[in-house]
Amino acid sequence: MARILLENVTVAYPLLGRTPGGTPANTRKPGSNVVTQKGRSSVVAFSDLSLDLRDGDRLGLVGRNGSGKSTLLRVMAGVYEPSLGRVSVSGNIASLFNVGIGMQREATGRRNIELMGLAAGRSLREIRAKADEIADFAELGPFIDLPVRTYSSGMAMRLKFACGTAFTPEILLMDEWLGAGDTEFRRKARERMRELVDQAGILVLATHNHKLIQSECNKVLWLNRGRVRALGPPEEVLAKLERREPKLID
Amino acid sequence: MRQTAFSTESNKFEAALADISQSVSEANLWISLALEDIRNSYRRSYLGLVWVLVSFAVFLGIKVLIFLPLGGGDVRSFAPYVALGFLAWSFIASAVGEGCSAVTGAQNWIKGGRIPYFVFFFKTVTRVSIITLLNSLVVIVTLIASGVRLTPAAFFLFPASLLFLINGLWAVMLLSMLSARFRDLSHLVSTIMRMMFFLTPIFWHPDRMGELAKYLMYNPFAHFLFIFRDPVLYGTIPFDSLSVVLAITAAGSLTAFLFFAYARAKIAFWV
Repeated sequence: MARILLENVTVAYPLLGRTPGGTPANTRKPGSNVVTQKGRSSVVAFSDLSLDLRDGDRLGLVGRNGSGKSTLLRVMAGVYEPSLGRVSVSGNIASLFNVGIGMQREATGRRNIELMGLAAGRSLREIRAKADEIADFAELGPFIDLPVRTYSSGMAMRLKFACGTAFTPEILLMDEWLGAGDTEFRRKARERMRELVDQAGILVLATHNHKLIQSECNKVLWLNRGRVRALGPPEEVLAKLERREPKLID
Repeated sequence: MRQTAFSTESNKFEAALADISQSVSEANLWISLALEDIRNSYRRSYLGLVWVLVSFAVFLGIKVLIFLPLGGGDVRSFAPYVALGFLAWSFIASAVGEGCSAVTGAQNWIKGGRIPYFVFFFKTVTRVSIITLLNSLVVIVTLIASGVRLTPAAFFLFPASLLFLINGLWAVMLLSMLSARFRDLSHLVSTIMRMMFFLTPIFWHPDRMGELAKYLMYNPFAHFLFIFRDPVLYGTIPFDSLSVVLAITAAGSLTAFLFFAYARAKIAFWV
């Protein structure tokens, strides 16, 4: 049973170190998301957000750049812990916003399958059982035994994609839909993503693509400057969003 | 699969301990990272890892050559003295130096997912230890060539090395977290370490420094060198220095752990 529970979560990034020119004066106006407490400034990414996701939930995150979508994904992934409120997540997570972590340009493709798998928290046994399948999927042929530095960027991307999507998670976190490669590979990638999304208990997808939300999600959260503008069924929230910010329509 | 459940409400100390146990169970990850790191620096070169030995040996040779007059003029006693001291110092200096970037250098990892932080601490200590082990080959050759006779006290090298590892770990923890928060720290530390290289009896004898030698007891690095070098060279265990090192080990480990428990949830915001 996968579950993501956020209760009254506020996340603020501290402004640390020497900032050129100090804090700009206009950020001190009321309504800005820079707050200063006890002489320390921080940027509030979002505040007082509550959310309860369970198996079967497919949540779309919408909102303009800087509205807090990516931060929210990272909070769910356990990267950022909230300044206020409580987060609890159960179920193993694949965060597809970080594919390629662990990749070493100087190591061979085969070694990189292990490295990226280990970086994602898989055991060597699990990885070795899947290694051939991953290599086949990435269509690297003999290049699999050559250093990644010799790959074209498309080949490297295919390897990252194959590794990042090899294991089915209970919770799938995505910042925009993940695709890779040329037309041929893209079809395969689409199928793989389809399987992954269908098998995941919970999907959270941040995107500007409303069509994608309509086809994939059964809930939408509209964030605006760190505050929840609307949370509900896709048609309802997207209609509100499009009335409010017609420029955003794709 | 990595820790499948977390709650940000859990106790700070429990979360810190969970980080440690999770990292221990992911030994394959940090060992691989340490090995890849070392391999990367020497990949595509023909001599490869031999460069580690060559550079250590050359640096050692030059120091023996230049400072021999300061050390009393006898190569057979001075060369092993410098070799052991320099080996211990290299470990300390690399642990401190690389410690400063252990967290900031892992920025992408830290922001990419919930990876336990001890993975990066263990990785750094492992990497430094492997290089030190390689360097120790040069030291062993130096000891044999100089005809140093070992006594049973030389076995103290093993507990001494363990103390080096523990101290390396807490130093890496503390420095990596603090230098992520305070970006001036790594520059300050590298300035201090450059100074300490000369203030630590690596290539000079305390006996020959007259009055100045009495200030040496305030240099913690000197005590680390003594517990490493004396058992091998003189067959004695310097208990005064050992007690200083044990006190540093206890205080440092405790401080680093408490600071980690306090800072763990903040690190992602610092990098």
